[in-house]
Amino acid sequence: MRRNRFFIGMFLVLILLIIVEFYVYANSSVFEGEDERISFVVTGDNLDDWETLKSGAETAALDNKCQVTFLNSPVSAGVEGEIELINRQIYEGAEYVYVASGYYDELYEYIKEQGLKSKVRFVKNGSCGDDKYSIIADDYSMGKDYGKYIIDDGFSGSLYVMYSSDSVNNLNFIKGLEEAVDGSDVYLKREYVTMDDSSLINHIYNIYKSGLYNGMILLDANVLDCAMSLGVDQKSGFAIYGVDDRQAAVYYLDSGSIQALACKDDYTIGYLAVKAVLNNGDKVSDEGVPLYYIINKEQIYSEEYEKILFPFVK
Amino acid sequence: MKLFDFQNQFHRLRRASKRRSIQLVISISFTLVAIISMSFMAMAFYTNYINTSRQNAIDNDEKIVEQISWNLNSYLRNMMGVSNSMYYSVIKNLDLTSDSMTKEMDILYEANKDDLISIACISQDGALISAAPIATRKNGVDFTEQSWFSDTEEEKVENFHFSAPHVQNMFESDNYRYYWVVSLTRSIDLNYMGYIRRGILLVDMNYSAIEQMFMKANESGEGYVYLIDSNGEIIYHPAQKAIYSGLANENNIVASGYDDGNYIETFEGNERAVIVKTVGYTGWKIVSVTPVKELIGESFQLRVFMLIILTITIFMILFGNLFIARVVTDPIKKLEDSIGVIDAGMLDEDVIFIGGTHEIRHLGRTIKSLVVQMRTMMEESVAEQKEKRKSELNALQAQINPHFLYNTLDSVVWMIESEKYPEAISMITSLASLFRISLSKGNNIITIRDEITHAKNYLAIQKVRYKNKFEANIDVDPAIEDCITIKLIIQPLIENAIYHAVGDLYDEGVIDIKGYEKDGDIYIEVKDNGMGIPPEKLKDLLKEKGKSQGKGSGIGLWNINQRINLYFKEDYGLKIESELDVGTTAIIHLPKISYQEYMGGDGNEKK
Repeated sequence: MRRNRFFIGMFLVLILLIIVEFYVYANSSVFEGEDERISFVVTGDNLDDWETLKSGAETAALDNKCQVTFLNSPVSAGVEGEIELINRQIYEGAEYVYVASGYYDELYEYIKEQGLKSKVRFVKNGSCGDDKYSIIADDYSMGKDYGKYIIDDGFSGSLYVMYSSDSVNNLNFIKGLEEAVDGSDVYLKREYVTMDDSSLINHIYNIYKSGLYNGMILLDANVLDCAMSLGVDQKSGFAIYGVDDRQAAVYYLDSGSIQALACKDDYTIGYLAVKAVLNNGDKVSDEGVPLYYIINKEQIYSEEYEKILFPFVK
Repeated sequence: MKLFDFQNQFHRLRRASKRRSIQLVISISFTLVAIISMSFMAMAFYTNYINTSRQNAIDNDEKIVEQISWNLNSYLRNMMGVSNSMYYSVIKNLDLTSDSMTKEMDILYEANKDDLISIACISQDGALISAAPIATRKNGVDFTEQSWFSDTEEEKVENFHFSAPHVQNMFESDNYRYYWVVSLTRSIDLNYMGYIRRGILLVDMNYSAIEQMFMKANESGEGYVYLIDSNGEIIYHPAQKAIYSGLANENNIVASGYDDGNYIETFEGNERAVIVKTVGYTGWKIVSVTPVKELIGESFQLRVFMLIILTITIFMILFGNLFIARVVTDPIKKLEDSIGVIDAGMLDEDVIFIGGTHEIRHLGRTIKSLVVQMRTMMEESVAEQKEKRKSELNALQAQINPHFLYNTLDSVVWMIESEKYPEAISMITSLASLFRISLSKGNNIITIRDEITHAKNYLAIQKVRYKNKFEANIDVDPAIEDCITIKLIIQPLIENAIYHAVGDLYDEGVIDIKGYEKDGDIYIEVKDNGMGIPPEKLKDLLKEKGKSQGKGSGIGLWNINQRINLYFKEDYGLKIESELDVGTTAIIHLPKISYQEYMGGDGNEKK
């Protein structure tokens, strides 16, 4: 009787084992671990503008069982477009959604209200102190460093700070800049401009021609482009400093149209964003890997900056 | 202490293993052998499969590397061909004081512009002689400060020099485009009206062409392919930007030291298969890296599948073996059980199991036959023993009756003749009672009460015959009166006491008969106060007739002792103690068995 019970017990154990093994076999992909899905939602009409960020993200995802998806929300769709995209990505199973938002303040409030902080993180645009998981360059430090550079470069006098986006990035940058030049021979005049390009060109021309200012620091792409279209003669002593990530800005620097350029390293930002997800959601230590650079013309083709300013993308 | 415990456990296991059944032995043995064999085979096949898969994957990767190498060589040969064409077919034949190479350069550029960024001819002092596509040299750019210029300057004309990848920064670009290039340079001879001056022919290869070759190979799987120069510096790597930024690492410096072939290396805790192939002309190396775990692909699923097969097979083996063992051993078990019944004492051949295989059936039939024989032999032996004892007893008993009868009858005749009728009646009554008890319906076993009555009757008769020459006292514990004894053992002792002890005494002889229990046995003493028996006679008293040398029968004593030994064990019997001038005591030693107990079982004797 005892032996029969033993055999029945063994029989049941083996059957159970076979069932479990079949289940594991049929769901082997689950047990091996499905690929992490990360979505990036960026603002802009052209996804090519985010090619460097995408390249960094895809490199980090390489060989790490990770899928990276990039989606752009057109500028015209506003913050609602970004919210819709974010929600759709979460619904479709994205582990995390990184957002490079053009409407940081509204989106940040929305994320906080909806309790989506565990799923949605900010990248590149925004205040780096708001959320410990966001990968954002420290604009305040960048402004401060740029201020020091300008002073060290020998500039003195009035510096016109112009920007067309009152984003938190620009505001933090200006704060840092103001602190850096405080007490020095550099005096800042800041202006937030909202005019169209032709008006802006005229405005910049007037500032240049007024003789009241010794230089400008231009924080946004369209402002920089408008200034460059004037073809200001650098020999005139009117110094133009740029803050821009685009290849065009590198060209301006290379051609001597601007004195120096501050740019963020989108590749590293994208890379660190994905690595944080692969590190169980925790940020990977990024000490020693700066997220922004301040470069002059002589440094463009140096071994250190060449590979940063000219990413290996087609 | 631990050793002691281990030994204890080991011995317990051994004892337990000795109690195992044949079914268990067969089941376990077959199962173990099958499982071990199967596991060994499975491991061998799996290992062979893994190794073969791994080798196939490595061979596959080698083919990919070979293909990339061929493509890269082809590309580089093409570029070198452009350089050769430009130099040998155009520049060498020109007199630069009067001729121009621009047109030919343009044609060559246009024919290869997918793979080139530019072609340029530069003089020894850094002056741009010609370039295609036509472009303005950047302000402030000095060719002589470029590394490709200084590295090539002193080289031989036939020698090509390949630079590391860099951004071309020599010519103006009107679309903000910057190109990564690998500069292929060679030193050339420039002819100026017969004067030969050195110059540099520069072919800027489009880096993206190299990039495209490797990107295709890196599209799938976890492995990747990269390109390094002879110093280990990365020319192309899918994560080169991350490596340059310090975000990622690669084992490129070590890989530059490998000869062509495949290796297994460990880098940052991961084991990987590395294939190295050197590209001719340049000394570059193509390095393919594949994580070892990817070489065998879908290994997890395979292992689970193997586990399923193993489990099912164990399941089938286990229960199959159990079933077979049961079929084989059940008849043996049944046979064993039936022998157990025999062993318990029931010699019934019908309980023997006949069944199972031919050998078991044969065994059963043989055992059955043996049981029958055993039972027959035992029965015969018992009957024989019974008969033997009966005849022995009967024979023995027959020896002691005749003389007494004659004498007693004589006494009765005398009494009748003497008109002593009451005495005669008493004597005949006693005699009758004596014979009744002697016969006891043929039983050899009677109660002590009856044996004492028999003794009393005998004494009554003998007292008359011996004219009250002696006194007899009987003191028997009533508790033993219902116990058994062999009949006619006290009377012969009394007879001996009368004939050899008190019968010749002038004083009144005394015979004491005492019965008591001691240490669980029964003792009956017949004691007289006669002359005693000399020691030399005493020692022969219990010997068989013929061996005894003395006068008198002696048969009675040996007879009594023998009968007691025959009926009960050798532990019981008769003992004689005697002291000269004091007397003799005959002590009968019997087991204490009640008559009821005796009647309850047939085999009570000789236990």
